[in-house]
Amino acid sequence: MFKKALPLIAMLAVVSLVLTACPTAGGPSEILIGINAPMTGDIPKVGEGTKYAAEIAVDEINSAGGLEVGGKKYKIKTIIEDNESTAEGSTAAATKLITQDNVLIMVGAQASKQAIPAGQVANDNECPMISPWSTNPRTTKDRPWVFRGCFLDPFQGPVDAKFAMEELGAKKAAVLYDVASDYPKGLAEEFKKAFETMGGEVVAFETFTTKDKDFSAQLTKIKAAGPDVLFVPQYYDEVPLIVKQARELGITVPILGSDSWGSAELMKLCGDPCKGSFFSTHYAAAGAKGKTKEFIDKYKEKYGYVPDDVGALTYDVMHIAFQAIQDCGKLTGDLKADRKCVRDALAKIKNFDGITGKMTFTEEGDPLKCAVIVKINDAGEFEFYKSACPEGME
Amino acid sequence: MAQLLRRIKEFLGRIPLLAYLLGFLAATGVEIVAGQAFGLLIGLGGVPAFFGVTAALSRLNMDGGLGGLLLSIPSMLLYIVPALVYDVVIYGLPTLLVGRVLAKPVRWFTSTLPEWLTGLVHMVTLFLSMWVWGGLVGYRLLVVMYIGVNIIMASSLNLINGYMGEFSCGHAGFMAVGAYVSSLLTVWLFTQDDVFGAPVLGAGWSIILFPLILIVGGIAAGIAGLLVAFPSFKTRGDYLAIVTISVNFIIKSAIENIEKIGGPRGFMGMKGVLRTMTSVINVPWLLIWTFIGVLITLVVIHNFVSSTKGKGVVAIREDEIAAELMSVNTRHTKVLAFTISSFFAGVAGGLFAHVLGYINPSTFTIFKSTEALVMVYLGGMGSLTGSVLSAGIFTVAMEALRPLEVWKKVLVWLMLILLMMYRREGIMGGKELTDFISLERLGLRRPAKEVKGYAPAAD
Repeated sequence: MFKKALPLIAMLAVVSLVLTACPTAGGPSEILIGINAPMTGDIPKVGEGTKYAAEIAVDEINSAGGLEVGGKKYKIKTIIEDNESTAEGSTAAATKLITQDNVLIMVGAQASKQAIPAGQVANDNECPMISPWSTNPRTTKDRPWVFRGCFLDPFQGPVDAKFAMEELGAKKAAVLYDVASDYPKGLAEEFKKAFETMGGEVVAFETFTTKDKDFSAQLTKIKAAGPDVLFVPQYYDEVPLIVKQARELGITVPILGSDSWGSAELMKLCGDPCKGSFFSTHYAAAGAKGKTKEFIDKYKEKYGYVPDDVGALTYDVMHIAFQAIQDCGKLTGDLKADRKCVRDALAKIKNFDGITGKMTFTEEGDPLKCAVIVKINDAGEFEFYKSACPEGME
Repeated sequence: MAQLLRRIKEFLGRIPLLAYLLGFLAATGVEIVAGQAFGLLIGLGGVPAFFGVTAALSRLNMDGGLGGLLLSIPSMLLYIVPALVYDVVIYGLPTLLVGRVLAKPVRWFTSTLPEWLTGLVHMVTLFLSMWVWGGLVGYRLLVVMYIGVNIIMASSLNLINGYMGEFSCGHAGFMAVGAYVSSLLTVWLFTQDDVFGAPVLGAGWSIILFPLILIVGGIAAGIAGLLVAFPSFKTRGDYLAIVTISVNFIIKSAIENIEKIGGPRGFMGMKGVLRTMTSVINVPWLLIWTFIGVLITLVVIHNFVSSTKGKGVVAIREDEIAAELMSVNTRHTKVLAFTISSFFAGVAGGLFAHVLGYINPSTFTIFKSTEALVMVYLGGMGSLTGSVLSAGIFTVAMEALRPLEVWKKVLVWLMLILLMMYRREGIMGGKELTDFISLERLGLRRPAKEVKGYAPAAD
């Protein structure tokens, strides 16, 4: 038996040697960008917005013949992986994109619950990653390979507090938030801290748990405390329930929200009760000008609705990625070297002029950028009201 | 045709398990040397992650409605052909060739060595092939470890839901206890962390203490299980299901409300622990411990259900009153089985936490428990082989079907419905692998020796 098998084994060995010696095709002809998005799970609308915005950004480049890097044009190809809106799904999706699909750079994940573990994978495998939407500081903390395209909770909280105090003239504030969810809880605490340092008083700090539908007990307490403003840093699917119930219980004070309100779905679910409320966000769609308007028009024409902040941020992040690749100057085909080059280029980006504002990355990989306060006008549109910038920016 | 099949079967049957394992190890070697180039040559664009299944499915176009989907089927088929060629050339041929060549030496080897050593050699070979195969693509390694964790989850839940016939739905809760306890300990002891500060012990300790900490996590989960078992085993059936579901919720909410360990923000730093471990000796520690964890779980549960006490567990499933009458201490047996089951769920949680490097209470919801339930019923109640198989199938399917997005869930649950309609007993149906192929045949046990000159005593 061994004698019979010997020539076969020898043949196999020769074939494998020949194959190894074969030169691999000279240099890549396209650039792979991985997108880690929640296409299924709790927040599929976020995944959809990510995908559509990325498609628009890629179309712009590819229809112009591709991205020019070092005198050569490359087509952009995206690979979208669904992270199921879970931590382990996000880890698997990121690992697959980085180690199996060999993407040059990864965009996403979006929510912090997915972006924190995905950032871990990206950092461990030394692949640059930009999360468009994750506002938790830990996503980028101590991770040189991870960047983000939005401001952080410790910035947004004080912005909201300052707005409540100075523009709405509030002395007493009430907060209602989900204690079991990472993002609202963080933001509620940041708001409370900032509001109290500015000399205000938080008269009610009420909580509920994810998937609660009835808030009457908390809202009754809030009403009794007599606040001047109600802060609700919740997601777009919960806000309508809370706002409606608050108005029904006779709470007439202004309601203030955070960037998680800014979904295309909000007004569909909420309707009249939400009109007149304010929230802080990344960009305002109504009355947008220039590049922002171009993007909104393209998106609306192609997919039939006005893009929300996730879409706008993803679009910006895609362009930041393109610019970093361009700044890199040359793609060698050696993935490890190219990833390093793109990361270094990302860290150097200054005053990137995006549709959600100007951005400059800090050493932590977080951008310095302005927040926008939006008012929901009587037509139900998100209208620009005021912008709030970190120190040192206009 | 029938004769050909018979000859193939005969050919395959002559090769002992160890020769197959060595063959696969050789195949992974071939893949390392030639996989990338061969994959590029036949148009796969490199090494496929899972024999080309994932990449083939991702060729499907899920956006264009039914028309787009149907139109994309040819492109999937076009991918499947080279993928099959790849699988045959890179995996199939080397495995069979090396297996056939080594069949005789392996037979000789296994018949001379003591059985425990043969077993050990099998395990080491299996581990090496996992390591080499997974090491080529980081994604494979992750999925292999997910499978390991799921095997522990499924087989430990099988003890309650399969062997004992009770219905527990809170397995993820015990997993969470194990995950948090072991992560907190490892991060506190071995890494620089915001919450705990500087590492308490030197890096060298991490290697020795890591498995012990996993056990501590398991014990914590076991204690949690014990606390639940005492009051709740006065109830049965649906009521027990409700109790265990609520325990799952209680544990999740409790963790959410403990601000010190991150609350809903989750807890991280476990990757730092692994870095500390690899800085001492650079081997894939987590894969090693997942592998050993799986082995220990299977051996302990198998031995438990084969023991006198464990037979009582099966007796309870058949008829609790009759078991009581036959002197089975049903209450004690139930509590013991539940504690063992929770213990292993805790160990699985500890491994899971270190694989992910980040845990969050919302990871351990009722959905995670449901996954464990699905694996138990898919594999078959009361079959460890079934649990191993279904954990593998389920985990890989969840990964491979990812490109189908929402339809993945439809497909997975549809499969489950079909299974319940046409094969209610699950894949293995309460049988083990050894019911089909004997250990002697696999080469795991020495064939019984014929004793010469032996004649039964005449009386």
